[in-house]
Amino acid sequence: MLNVFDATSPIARAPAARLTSVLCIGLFPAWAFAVFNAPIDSFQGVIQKILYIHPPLAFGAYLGFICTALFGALYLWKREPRFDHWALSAAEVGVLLCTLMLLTGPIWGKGTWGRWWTWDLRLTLTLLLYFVYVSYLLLRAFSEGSERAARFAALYGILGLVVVPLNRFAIELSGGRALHPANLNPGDDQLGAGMTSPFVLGVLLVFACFAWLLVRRYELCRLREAVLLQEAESEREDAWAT
Amino acid sequence: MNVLRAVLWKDLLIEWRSRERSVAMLVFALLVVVILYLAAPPADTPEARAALPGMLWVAYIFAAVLGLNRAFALELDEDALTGLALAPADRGFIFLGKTLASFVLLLGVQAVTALAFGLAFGVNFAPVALPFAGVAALGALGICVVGTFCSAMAIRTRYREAMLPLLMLPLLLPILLGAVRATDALLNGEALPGLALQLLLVSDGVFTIVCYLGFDAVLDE
Amino acid sequence: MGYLISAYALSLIGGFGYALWLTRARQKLRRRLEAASAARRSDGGPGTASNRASAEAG
Repeated sequence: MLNVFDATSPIARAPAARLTSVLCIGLFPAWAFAVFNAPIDSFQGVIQKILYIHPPLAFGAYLGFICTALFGALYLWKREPRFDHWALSAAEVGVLLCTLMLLTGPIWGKGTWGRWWTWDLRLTLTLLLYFVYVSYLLLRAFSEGSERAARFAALYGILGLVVVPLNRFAIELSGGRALHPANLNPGDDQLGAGMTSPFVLGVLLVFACFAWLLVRRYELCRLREAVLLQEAESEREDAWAT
Repeated sequence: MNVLRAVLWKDLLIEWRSRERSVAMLVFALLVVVILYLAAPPADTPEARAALPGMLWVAYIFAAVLGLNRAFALELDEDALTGLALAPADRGFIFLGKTLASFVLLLGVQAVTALAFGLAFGVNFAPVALPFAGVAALGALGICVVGTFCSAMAIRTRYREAMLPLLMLPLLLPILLGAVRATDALLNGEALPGLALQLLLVSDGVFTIVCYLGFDAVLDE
Repeated sequence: MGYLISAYALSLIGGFGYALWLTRARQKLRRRLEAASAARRSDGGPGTASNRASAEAG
């Protein structure tokens, strides 16, 4: 059977890498066109167009963190290194998307609320989740032994997701005011006319980019593994030859 | 269960003989209180008083980080950690034993620090001693559960001492917020806030269960 | 408008920057892989006659 994610050699590109890059390239112009043509909000003005990048980035980041925990759990169950590679890739791409989301958010906040940051429920919750997964990457970077690093990271990634509902409760308790706009569901009439399609396209584009970066990062993990194996082998042969 | 008691007893006995960890934690916590006093001298404004519970818990968490860093350092000598991992026992109970040992130490440190804090900042803990002890214990339990779990991981990384706070602090927000809210209410002479207590209990429970189950994968095979 | 453009620019720079970093890391690893396999070939590998002879002599 053709393997979609693992190419036959570590240098070759897997089918998934090609598919996701085609998706990204196809979606990008459609999204850009839709954003450009979207109507300008009568209340917020042009700054409202951040809707087509900021919430999609947030969805992508959450998707990354959920994938990290899921692949971590799969690794603990099956103990196959590929699940650990997926978990690491998902965490790294998730942290990237979360960073971009945390950068674009304050820009909208400055333009609309007049201040960069507020300790709103959703902002605080996301910031904490961000710190958890930054710590996750640090833990991976500083752990000795790839098998041990994988186990620790899997546990920590799961713990990071478990703490989300607790944090939510905690921040509500401390009176974090909900300033952040509520969830927008396409189909509700909260979104003005003509705003749904660029928003949905934005979400699809970010998900496609997430998948593309994820697959590429995963390929990098496999390639690194192959290099280390090759180098170890040639070193062993050197030792044997002398 | 016997494993739990054995590990707890072993850790407390070692601590009783050397008293290294508890003395280090205590001196550190007192130093933090002194520094907080000098950095933010007590004033009788409502704003200044509102910050006190948070400051007290900052001192607690710092002391806890210092102590928890040593929780597994002990086991690293002569590879005792491998021995523990090889013991034919449920590893979850080893975890609970280690946690309870740190918990007992932290409780003692908390009591003395609260006295010093009360003297320095003019806070009278006497009328609320019993409920405050309960809140402090619930907070300490959560800190020790998460801290022991993360400490067992941090000890195996390159920057042991630096890694522990990075790992445990992002997870501890529910515990700390609940404890600070409850302490705040107590110091203002109010009844214990039910929601904060609920948060503490639920967080303690969730962390204990998850860490108990997960500890099996922390120790090497 | 300036805020909006900077937000979009930041996102694009971030995404493409990361993709570029991935590409560079991949190229470096490929070079290392080629170097390692070239080293193996020049040694002759474990199965070649010269290696076997030297092993028997040693």
